[in-house]
Order: sequence, then C-alpha cells, then structure tokens
Amino acid sequence: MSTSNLKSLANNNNNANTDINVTINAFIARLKRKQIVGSYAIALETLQLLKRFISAARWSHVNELIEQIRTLGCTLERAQPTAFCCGSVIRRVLTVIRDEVEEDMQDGAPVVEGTAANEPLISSMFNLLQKPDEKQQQFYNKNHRKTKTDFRQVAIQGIKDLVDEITNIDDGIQQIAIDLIHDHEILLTPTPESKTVLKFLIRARERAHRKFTVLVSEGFPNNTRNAHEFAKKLAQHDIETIIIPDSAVFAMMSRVGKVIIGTKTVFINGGSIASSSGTSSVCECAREFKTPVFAVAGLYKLSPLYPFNVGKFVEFGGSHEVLPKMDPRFRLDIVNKTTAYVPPENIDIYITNIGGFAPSFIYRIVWDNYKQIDVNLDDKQTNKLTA
Amino acid sequence: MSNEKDVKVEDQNSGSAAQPAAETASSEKKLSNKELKELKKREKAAKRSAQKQASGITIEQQQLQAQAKREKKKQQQHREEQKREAKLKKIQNELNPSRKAKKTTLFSHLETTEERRASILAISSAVTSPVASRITASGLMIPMVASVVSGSQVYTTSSFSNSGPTLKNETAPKVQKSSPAVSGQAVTVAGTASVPDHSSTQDIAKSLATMSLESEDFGVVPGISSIVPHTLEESFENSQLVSSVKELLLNKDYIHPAITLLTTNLAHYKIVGSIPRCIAMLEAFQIVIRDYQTPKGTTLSRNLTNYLSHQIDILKKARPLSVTMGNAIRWIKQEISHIDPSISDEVAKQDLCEQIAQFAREKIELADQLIIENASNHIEKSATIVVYGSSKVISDLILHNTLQLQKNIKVIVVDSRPLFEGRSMANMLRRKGVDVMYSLITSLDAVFDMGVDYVFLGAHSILSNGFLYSRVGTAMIAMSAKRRNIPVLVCCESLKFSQRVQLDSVTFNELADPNDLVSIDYDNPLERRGNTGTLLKQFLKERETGRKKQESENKIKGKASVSSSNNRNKVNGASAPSEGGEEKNILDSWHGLKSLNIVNILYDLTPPEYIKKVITEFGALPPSSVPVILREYKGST
Amino acid sequence: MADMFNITETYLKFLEEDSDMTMPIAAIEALVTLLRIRNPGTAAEMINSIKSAAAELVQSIPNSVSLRAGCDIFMRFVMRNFHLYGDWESCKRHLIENGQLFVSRAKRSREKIANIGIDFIADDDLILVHGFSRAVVSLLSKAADKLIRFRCVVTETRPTNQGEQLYSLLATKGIPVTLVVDNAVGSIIDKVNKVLVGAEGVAESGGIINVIGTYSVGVLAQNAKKPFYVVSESHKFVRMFPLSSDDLPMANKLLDFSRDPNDLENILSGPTIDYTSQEYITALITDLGVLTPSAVSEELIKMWYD
Repeated sequence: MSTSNLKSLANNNNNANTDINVTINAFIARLKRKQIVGSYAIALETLQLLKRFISAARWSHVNELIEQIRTLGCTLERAQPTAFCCGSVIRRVLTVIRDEVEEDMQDGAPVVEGTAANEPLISSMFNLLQKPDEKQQQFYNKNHRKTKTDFRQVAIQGIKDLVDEITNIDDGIQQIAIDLIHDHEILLTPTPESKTVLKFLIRARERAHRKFTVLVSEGFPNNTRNAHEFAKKLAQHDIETIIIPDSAVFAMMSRVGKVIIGTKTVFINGGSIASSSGTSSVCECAREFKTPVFAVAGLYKLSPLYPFNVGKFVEFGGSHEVLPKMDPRFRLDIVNKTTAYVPPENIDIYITNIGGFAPSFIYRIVWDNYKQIDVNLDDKQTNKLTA
Repeated sequence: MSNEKDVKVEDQNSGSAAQPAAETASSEKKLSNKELKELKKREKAAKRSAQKQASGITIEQQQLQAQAKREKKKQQQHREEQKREAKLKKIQNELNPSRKAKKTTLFSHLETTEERRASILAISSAVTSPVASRITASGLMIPMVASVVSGSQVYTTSSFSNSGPTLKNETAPKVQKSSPAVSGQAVTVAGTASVPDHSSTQDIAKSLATMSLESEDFGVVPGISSIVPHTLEESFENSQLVSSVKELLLNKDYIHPAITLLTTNLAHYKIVGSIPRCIAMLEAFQIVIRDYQTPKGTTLSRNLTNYLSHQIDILKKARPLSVTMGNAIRWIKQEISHIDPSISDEVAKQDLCEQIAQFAREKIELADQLIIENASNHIEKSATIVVYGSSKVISDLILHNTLQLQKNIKVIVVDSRPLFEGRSMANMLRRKGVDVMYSLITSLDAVFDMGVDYVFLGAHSILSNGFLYSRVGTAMIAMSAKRRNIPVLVCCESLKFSQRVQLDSVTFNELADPNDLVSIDYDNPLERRGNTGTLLKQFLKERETGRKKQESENKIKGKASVSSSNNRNKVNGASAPSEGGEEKNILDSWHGLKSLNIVNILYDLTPPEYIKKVITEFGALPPSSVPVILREYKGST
Repeated sequence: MADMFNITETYLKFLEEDSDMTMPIAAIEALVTLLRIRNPGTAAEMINSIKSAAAELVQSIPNSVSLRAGCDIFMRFVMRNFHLYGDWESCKRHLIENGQLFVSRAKRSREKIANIGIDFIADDDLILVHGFSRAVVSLLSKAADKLIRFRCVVTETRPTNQGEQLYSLLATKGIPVTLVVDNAVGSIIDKVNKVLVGAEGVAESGGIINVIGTYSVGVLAQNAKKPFYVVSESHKFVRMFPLSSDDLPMANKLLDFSRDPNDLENILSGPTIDYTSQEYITALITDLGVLTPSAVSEELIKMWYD
C-alpha cells in the first residue's frame, strides 16, 4: 500500500470524524437549549446519533469502542445533566456490547479450569473469598487479540432493538395498566405532558370500554397548556374529564381512586423524576389519603443512578413564567420548579413495558439492563482498575 | 322570543342600512344623551358589518344568511318544543349540549356560578331596569309597581346603573316602533306600559339575557359572557330557583341601595376575604338601620329583623355568606331582639349603629392586634416563614415583626391560580422592605426545602370539629408542612369560629367561575373581567362559534335524524382546527365538549392534625379546643 | 498441636491484633488458620472441622451476630466449591494461601463503601451518627478529605460508650462534631439532615442488627422523615430473620426481673444490640453499591439457593 493511499484513508477518516463531531455538537447544542422535548424524543435521537457515531468510529479493540461510547455519553450527560434517558440508552447499548464481549470471551478464550467463567449466578458477597480474578484480567490483558465478533454489527443491532423497544413501549404498558383501573373509577393525573398516560387512558376507554372520570391538575405555570390539551383530547374520546387547579388536589383526593403519573426518569432506589412540578405534592397528598399511585414508565427511563442529591436533578424555570410583570425596583425572588422528584415511598407501583414492579424492586430491573461498571460514565478509574 | 331576536338580528346584519334609518328616527325628536349613545352603538354595529363586508361577505349575502339563520332557528325552536313536550331531555341535550348548565358529577349539589349569576342578573335587572321589571311583573304576575323607575335613579352611584342605559339601548328599537315618543329615561314608565307583554318565565329569561348580553357595557355582572342565554333559560326551568327569585322580586322594594351596592361588589369579587366582607356588610347595615323607618302598627325590635332578613336574602344571592357574616348577623339579630321597646326608634337606631361599630372594633381590630402580639412571640429573629395567599392579619403580623420589632425575617409567599391573591401581598410586603420570595403551589416541595421554620395560615373559618375551612390549597400546604415537621400556625379571630361540622371539602364548598381557568395567563381573572374590550371580543367570538355550531348541527340533523354523540364529536373536532387560528385558549370552546368539565372550588378543609396551633384573641389553642371557645364565649358573639 | 488450637482464642487474638479488623473477617481468618493447622485430609473432614469450629465460636462469644455472618459465608463458600465442582483440594489450597488477601479485601471494601457513599454527604449537612462503626468512620473521613463541609452529631451510645471513641476520632480529623446523650436524639432529630449508622449484621429482610439504641434512632428518624442510612460491608449480611430484638442471640435478657437489687454494678446489664427492621432504613451503603433493603435479601437468596 502506498503512502498516498494511506494518507487519503486518513483523510477520509478525519472527514468522517469531523462529520460526526459536527452532528454531536449540534445535538449537544439542541440538548442544552432544551429544543428536544420529552424523554421519548431524546432517547430516539440519542440512539440515532449513537448509530452514526458507531458507524463512523474506528477502533482496534472493543475496549476502545466502549471507551469512546463512554466518552460520548459523558459529554452528553455533562451537556444536559437532567436528560437522563440520554445516558440511559447509551448505557443500554454499552451493556449489549459488554454482554457480547463476555460471550465472545467464553467462546474464544480457553476455559481456565475451575474458574468462575462457567459458574452460574453468584452472589457478589463471595467476592470476598473469591480467587484473584484472573479471567477478567486475562481478557483485558490480551488487548490485541482479534475477536471474531463484529462489534459494530452487534452495537448497531443493539441500537435497532432498542429503538424498536422504545417505539413499542405503549402497548406493553397499556396491557398491564388497564387491569389496574375499574369501571367508574375516578383517576387523577398531575402529569398531562405524558403521552404514555394519555394513550393508556384513551385505550382503556376505547378497547376495554371502561367508563371512568379523569381529574387533570393544571400544573401551572409550566404545564397548563399541556393539561388543557390533554383534557380536551380525553374529552374528545368521550372520557369524563375534569380540570382542577393545582390547589384543589387535596380537596379532591378523598374522591380519587388512583393517581396515575408519567415519569421522566426512574432511579435505582425507586424514586422518580416527573416533568410536572406539582407531582411530588400530589403524590404526597395521595400517600396521606392512602390513595394508590401508579407510575408508568418505559424501560428506557430506568436509570442506574441513585438520587443522592435531589437538588441536582430537579430543574428550575425562569421567573417570568410566574410573574411576567414585575416592578424593577422591587423585584421578588421567585421559585419556579419545572420538574419534581417523587420519592419511592410515595409510589406504589411502576408499570413498565415488561411488567409491573414495586419501587423496591426497581434496582433489580435496572441491573438486568445495565452494567454496574457503566454507572459513572466519567469515571475512568473503574476501567483502569480492571484493565 | 323570536320577535325580540329578529329585531336584534336585523339590527346587526343590516347595520349600515339601519344607520340612516336611526338618524331619521332620532331627528324626529330632541337628541338626548341616551340616543347619542345609541347612535354610537349603531355606528359600531356598522363598523362590524363593514368588517364583515371587507372579509368578503356582501350585505345581500348577510341578509340571506340572516334569513337562513332565522328559518333554521325557527325550525330548531319548533323541534325543540316538540321534544320538550315529549320529554326527551336526553336527546335534547345531545342536540345542543351547551344548553345544559355544566354540572360536575362530584359537585352537582353545589350552586354553580352560572346559576348564581343567572339569578342575580335576573334580580338586579328587575330591581334596576324599568323595562325588565315590567316584563318580570307581567311574567311573574306581580302587580306593576311604578316606583321602580325612581329606584333606578337612586342607584346611579352603583354599578347597577349601567344596566339602565344598557337595557335601554337594546329595547330602544322596539320601543320606537311601538311608540316613537318614548326615548328618554325619565318617561320610560309610560312607554314601558305599552310594551307587549311576554308570556312565560323562559321568555323573560331570554329577554333578560339577550338584553344584557347584546349590550357592550358589561358592567352588570362579572364574566357575563359565560352566561349564554341558554344557561339563564335553563336555570329558570329550575322551579326552586324561580320561586326564590320570585320571592326576592316580590320584596325588591324593601332592598336598600347600600345593600344592592354591596351585593354587586360581592358578586364582582371586588370585596373578598371573610373579614373585609364582614366589615363591608356591617357598614352597609349601619346605613340601612339609619335609613330604616318602622312601619305603622309594629315595633322596631320586631320589624327590623324581618327587614334585615330581606337584605340578607339578596346578599346571599351574590355569594354564600361567609362564616364571619353569619356570626355577625346572628349577633345583630340578637341585639335587635334585646332592644328595649320603650325607647324611641331614633335612639334605638343610634344605639344599634354604635354597637355595630363597637362590635367591628372589638371582634376584628382589637382581636387582630391581640393575635399579632401573640403570634409575634413565635417568630424568632431571622426565621423563615411560609404564608399562603393573602391575609390581612398575616400581612399585618409580618409588617409588625419586620418594621416595629426589627426582626430580620424571610417570608415565602405561596400562591395559586386562578386568583393569585398572594401576588398583591407579596408586592406590598416587598415595597415595605420585607425579604419576600414568591412561589406557586406547584413548587411547594422546593419551598419547604429552604429551611422553613413556620407556616402561618389565615382562615376563612374554623369548624367546631377543629377543621380549618380556608382558601383552596391551604390543606395541601398544611399537609406538606406537617410531613416535614414544620409547625403550622393559624391566625384566626374567634368571630370565624363556626358551629358547623364538616368532614371533607367536597360536601360543602363554593364554586367559582370555571372560565377563570380557561385562559392560561398570569392575570387575575377579576382584573381581566374589568377590561370590557377583550370581554366583548371574547363574547362576540363565542356567539359566533355558537351560531356556527348550531348551523352545523342543523346540517347534520338534516342528514340524519338521530345524531350520535360520536357524530357530534366529529363536528367539534372538525370545527376546532378551523377556529384554531383565532382561538387564543385551548379550552375556549369547552362548553361544547360534553365530557369536559372544569372545577374551580374556592375552599378546602384542613384536618386538625396538620395544625399545631390556632392563635386567636383568646390566646393560642389547639384546634380541638374550638368547640370550647364556642361554648364559653357564645354570649359575647 | 492440632488439638491445642482454640478457635475462640484465635478469633479474639485476630481482633486484638488488628483494630481495623471486623468480627466476620476475624472469624474467617480464624477458620482459615484452623484449616492451615489441621490441614484436613478429606473433604468431609474439612467440612466437619469447619462446622464444629464455627459452632464452638458462635457458642463461646456472647455477641455472635457479626461473626456468624463470617462463618456463614465461609461455610457456604466451601460447601459450594465442594458440591459444585468437587475440587475441594484446590479450594482448600486457595483458602489457606490467601488468608491475608481476604483481610486486605475486607479493608478495601470499606474504601469502596466510602467511594460509593461519598455522594450522600453534601455541604452544610448535619449528620447524626449512632454507635461506632469503622465503615461510617471511613466514609466520614473520606468526605472530610474531599473537603466537604459537614458537621456531625454523635450520640453517647450507652452503655458501650462508643460515642466518645467516635467523637475523639472525628475531632482529630478536624470534623466539627458534638456529643449528645442518647436521650437527646428526639430533640435534635428535626435539625439533622440524615442519620448514619453502621451494622453488626444485616438480616435477610434488610433490617440491621446494631448497637443498642439504633432502633430508637431509626424510629425517630422515620417519624421526622429523615433519611436513615446504614453503612456496612456486604460480608456482614447474615442469614437471620429476626422479627424483633427478642429474636437476637443475646447474653442477657432485655427484661430481667431476677437481678440482684444489691448488685448496683450490674443493675443495667442488658443486651447491647438491637434489631432495626427494614422499614426504618432508607438505603444501605455497601461495597456492592447502594442497596435498598430488599436487595440485601436478594444477595442472600443468591448465596443460599443455587
């Protein structure tokens, strides 16, 4: 191969890289400006980006690919720390790759007799007494061993599967959730921006022919428009709908059979972030009245993060939403929360597309879908330690 | 009904043609002020039709349309009558969903604002307008009372007087036809006598409604645009309401102007808050008592109570009486019954007025001072306090602590839609130099994360089972605070203690106007209502949409005799996007959606377990001690 | 020589020699020593000797919850290797050779806990600590090293007076700290932001067995809606499911009416541990990550049912 050839190849490489960098930067800019609304859209767009990223990526060993994806995820998370599903889908793809790596290793590497490689499910408590972990090191040490698996293919397929899953989430949720409401029940939802809730209610009315009443709290100031549209849509589908101001939630709660909330993210402790600011108070009311609260969430909304500092995850909006006109001499301090954290004790059940789970069990579902090693995407130490 | 409406339609649609006619008509006699106004109205109507013309519809087309509409209306009316006879109410509702006053399943036991407005509109029109009273008189078979006209002149200071000229404008064309000589208000008595009588209550309702609605002066009743004529008509089908209105109309001569003024102010929500309402009422009563003359053959102590009851009856129509008002009324009645029959009326009236003033001072002003003193002990320096909405005693308390006691306190005012009462309080406190933070109830948990030391709440009333009956949202704040172990203190005069017991907020409440929740903005709906221009636009739009809807429904009717609810939905769905451009609010047409409701309640109940302490002029006590105070101090209230 | 070996003494010696060593690790070390000294020839012999030694150890130590966890995990590990793979020989070799590795791993797990738990401590926090726990100390010192400005309230923790020990330790680390009597918890609980406790053992339900008073603190924290975190190494998970403190293996009865009223010194001699059930625990900070109480149960289930 001549040098010129090599050069052009490198150029191509660079071109591809700059291309993808432009795309990433554009995406980050949109994330930062909150131009992509809703976790659904963010998740899908992130996956599209990731697909392009992986297609354009160059690596000599799969670890490099993993590292590149982690760096991307880290960049996106930094750009918009509250767009959790961004990081979540990236972690999901990482999990797919890592699973493949493990499988690949088991197939390819000669089985070291008696190691944990072919051991079944094992409690991590045995870590203490385990023999020094040769297997992992072995693999990572053999950094340049060629693998048969085409990881690009694996990753792209993983992304495709994930897109499929995300787009088909509502069906799974509806099937389970419909069984949770009975005829003539009064429901309350404080999260009118949730498409999942809307679709579910309409479906319950049309397919299951349940007659029920839905109370919609307004979520003033950030969500009122959504609430009104939501109510209108429900009413057009012949569902008895009542709009109530946020202040009336307590007064009505004694009549409410169930509270349905949509979520933005579900954390590993079973708590969740809802993108309507009044939700936490509504759930508190529900708890006070022992009214069941059920949250609907697609699997991609589960996040392996723990809400150590809720303040970091909750977003605040501008003051003009609350007080558009203010005397400039006497400005008031304004609090305007746009999202709310609902602690796990205020939620009774999560309905996901793969089933219903108590908040205390969410951790398990999370670990089924994510690798512990990818929780902190910016944590290089973990990789160094194993590598 | 058709007669009246036809006149109106003609008037509107052939506006440019009508103008010269009006000029010729008016040239026959002297140009009075009223006529000038009328001319202006017509000019506006002409402009409207000119606009329509500009948008591509010629006068001929308009007339054709008007003709078509008239025919359709007649058809529809005919059909409706048939159906009413057949008592097919359900079908009727489907045919015209907005006919029925919207009632929520949960709150159908409560009087809606529309009903309230309908009745007060009827009453106020009856009281103030000669024409209306004439109609009412004939419709309700009340003997004609000529003195009404003088009444309407007396009330010129009140906002009711607006309805005088308003009604005049609308009826003027008709009056001109029958007796062109009648146009000035002073001679209306004679003129109205010759107006053809109407025959049923429904027609009265309709005419009342159209009269008020077609006027451009919307001062009569707040938010009048929400009262579609149908609603009024509908509520007059309610026999109970009719009888109560009838009764009020029978007694309307007794009603004192001060009370009428107060009634409007209450209905307008110009005077809000249980204490201000009570003070206003006591002041009005003082005037009433001063003006009171005992009729022959009875004594003051016997008759005054009765007389006051008539006043109270109309006050009740504005809004349900607050607990403070109820308590004050009870006290006044007691005082009247204690009046020594031997003293002269003048002295007795003088005494009574003084006592009322004394009552207000003692029960409200002094009580507030005591409460503030007591509550100030709880406020440490550099404490953070959460308050909700606006409350006189609480804002005084905060000012007292920052200005007099020089405590460096931080106040977080939590507020809620749609009334935004806290905004004015926050601004006021801020202007006086208090460290204020403003937040809405949706950000409640963020507020409570800020190291709040106390929650101070005002009260509408405290019930005898210890429940706090207050502005809606109070319960949520108290609950949230309780869950975070933040003490909740309620500042409440003992005047607000009530004998009533109640367990939840749904059983007894006051419904506010659901339309307040329709527009998504940051204005207080009361301020918004004051702006006639926007209201007029909104109203015209509503009417137009209403007509369109009727038309389209009629079309469907023509095709299929039975319209299913599905069909109607389609119509709504189809018409929504076409209006989408002009529609400002998503829910502007919510009346048209059968299954959509808006509930706007004013109060809620806070269970006693959320309240740490109730601070009254008798000292601080747990909510469970309310009945004790009620028993012990019954004599003094 | 083999007969001279006393498991209890070995255990106590380990504890004494290394103040950083926890009871379960000491128990494991003692069992490893046992294997080294006895060097059993057959699998059955090995299992039997471990079993009897463990039983003896549990018998002889009054507060056996924590060491029981160590014995359990060791036993299980041996059994598992034996049953599943039949390579007890290599297992034995591994255990005997790597005794020191386990100790260092246990210490490292505390380090890991500190890394995981650091996010729980924020600036301006006021943290209530009950009892003395090495895991809690390592977490707090890590936070102090990271220049997080927090303050601590330490309870006296009678009758063991672990509080004083913790107080002086934290004070030397330069963490603002104050000592309160156990009875003051109720009055200060509203002021604190979170509660941290260690654990002697974590029961299957996710509840914890810890120095007496933990239960009261947990109830108070729950009442005040304050987060109650348990900091514990995963090798303290123990296969027990006590329903209340009564079910714990304890030397002295909780309610003992037969004490000699003249014996003033022993009037207050009661048990020094209690059981705090899982509903009072917000989360467990362990080397396996931040676990909800139900996740503990899962770990134990995985260990015992395969």
